[in-house]
Amino acid sequence: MTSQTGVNGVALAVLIFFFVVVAAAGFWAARWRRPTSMESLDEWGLGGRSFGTWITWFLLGGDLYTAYTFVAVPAAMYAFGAVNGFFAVPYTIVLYPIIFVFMARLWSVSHRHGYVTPADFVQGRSGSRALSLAVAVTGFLATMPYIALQLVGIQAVLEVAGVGGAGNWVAKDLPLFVAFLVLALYTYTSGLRAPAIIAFVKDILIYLVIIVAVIYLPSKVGGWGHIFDAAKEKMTTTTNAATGNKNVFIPGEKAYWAYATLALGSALALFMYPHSITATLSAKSRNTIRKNAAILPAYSFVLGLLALLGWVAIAAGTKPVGLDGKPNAQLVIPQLFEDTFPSWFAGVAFAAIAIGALVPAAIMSIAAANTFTRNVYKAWLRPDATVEQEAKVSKVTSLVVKAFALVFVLTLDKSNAINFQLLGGIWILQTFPSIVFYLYTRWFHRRALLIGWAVGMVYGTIAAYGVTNKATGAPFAGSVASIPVIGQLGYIALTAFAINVLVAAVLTLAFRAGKVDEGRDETIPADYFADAGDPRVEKLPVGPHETTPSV
Amino acid sequence: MSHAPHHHYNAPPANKGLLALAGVLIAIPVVALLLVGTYAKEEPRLGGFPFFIWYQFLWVFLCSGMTYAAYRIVLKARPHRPMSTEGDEYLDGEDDGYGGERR
Repeated sequence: MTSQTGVNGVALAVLIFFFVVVAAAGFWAARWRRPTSMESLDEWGLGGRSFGTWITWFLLGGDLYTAYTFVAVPAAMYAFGAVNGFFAVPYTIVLYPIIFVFMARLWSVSHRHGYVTPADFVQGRSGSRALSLAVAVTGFLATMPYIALQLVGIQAVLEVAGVGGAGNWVAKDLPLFVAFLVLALYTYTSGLRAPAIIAFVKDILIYLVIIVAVIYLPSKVGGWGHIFDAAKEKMTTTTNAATGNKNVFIPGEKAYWAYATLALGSALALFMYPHSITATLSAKSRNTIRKNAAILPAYSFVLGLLALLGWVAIAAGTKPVGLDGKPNAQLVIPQLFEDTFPSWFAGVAFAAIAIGALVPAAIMSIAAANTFTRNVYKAWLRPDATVEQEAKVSKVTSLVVKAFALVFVLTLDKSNAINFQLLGGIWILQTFPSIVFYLYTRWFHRRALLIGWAVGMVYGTIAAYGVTNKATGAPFAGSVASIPVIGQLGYIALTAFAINVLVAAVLTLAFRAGKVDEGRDETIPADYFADAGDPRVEKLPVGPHETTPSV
Repeated sequence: MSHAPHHHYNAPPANKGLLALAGVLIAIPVVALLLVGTYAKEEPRLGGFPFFIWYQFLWVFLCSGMTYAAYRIVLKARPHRPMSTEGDEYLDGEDDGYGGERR
């Protein structure tokens, strides 16, 4: 099978049609469940905290299962096999029992105190501005490359459809630029309501495309038995040039720790990202998120099928070659669709991936903007900012954040975004103790948590830098490294997290013995069980002279 | 400043046994999937799918079911208790005498 070159007119027309539909829906979303005023973070940034079980299901599904995931997971399966790719399945299974346990508590305390971001909660619970800022900055930094990678997802589709790639920069980058400009504008006007509406279109298209693909494609390439045989043949005879390890059909004993720690570490980290918490706090009741923990695995099932399409591509002999003529594994799924589907349905599949990028990009930029507004602007620059000013700052910041992501992808090599995303995953897990432990106990000292966070960040960054590409010598070649003491390969984020917790626990004992100020907790135990209908705590005005000193 | 009774300082009462049961249901899928050695094998195949693949797909459904069961159980274990704004009395900085942990 040869890969087609040139513009695929029919597929492109279908793609543009869907893009126009979702753009219209995005602008219309401002009128959906119309609030009396959009000028507050509760409305613009959290959709009025009013979404029920099904809207939340579509929104979180559209938010967590990003276009980059849809492109990168099958690409990893195609190129390197199960440890790099299929770990996404246990990751997104164990994710839900984990969030079932603590996200309801975070919803409740945020409902009582009007928290918009995780750093808001950390501030209220610890009384430490420094710890809150650390959580906010980590969340912001981890989200930025994630937004940039959504653009990489759109680029992959456009490239296979024959747009972009080579040629002058206007032809190359203009489609991406227009797509992001339209996205920025409807996010600006409609806030979180825009991705909530568009998520319906995205998720339905994704389900449709994947179900059709797994029913239709195997029969064309000789059935599932043949597909797995072909994958086994490729995986057992090839080597990952970057790590020097053999590729993996089914993990051998040496890869057990890597597979398990990648799944667990990623699952613990995912709901520390501001965009996951934004979608959770937009739910209307405490139980919305717990019910969703039971029904969101439907997306994990689809993700698993999608991962297998990477192996279907092996059996189909798909040749992912970019417009620059170089092989690029990231293009394997769009290329498989273009080779095997009729043009019009390839267009539907492209639309599913491209729209799949718009939903998370919108929510991530809103979440990053809310984090900046609440935890930098209001906390440090303008403590007396009104809710209207907060909304204004957040809307403008969402534009800046997206502009930055666009410049990042267009001017720097793509591998920078991928490296930062890898680092972001390691970094964001270091905020887990400050957010999740605090939901249960104030035993940990706020300064100990801050120092534990710093140690985890530094260790994780150095360890990731130290993973060099055996072929090119470049750093950040992967996210697994030898675990100290245990001696097995494991996910760096989880190792850094263990060191972080250990440091925090030891220092807590030291600070307590030294009777260091523990700060003021503005929450009470009952707050962690509040539900819709329970009133918000009325905050007493606090003068500047009374604010809790930073640690 | 007036001090209304702090009936809602502490967590609502819960049936500890039921909470533990929900905890076990939640822990089973996590433990099962982290024990990679128990399922990292090719045979027996099912409809062409290696055991490694179909076993993990199976856990998508088992985990969803167990999480839903845990959800029903925690609703029973700790029924919601309506709150008032009086939680904000805490801002007075006075102890309420209900013995809530406060550090």
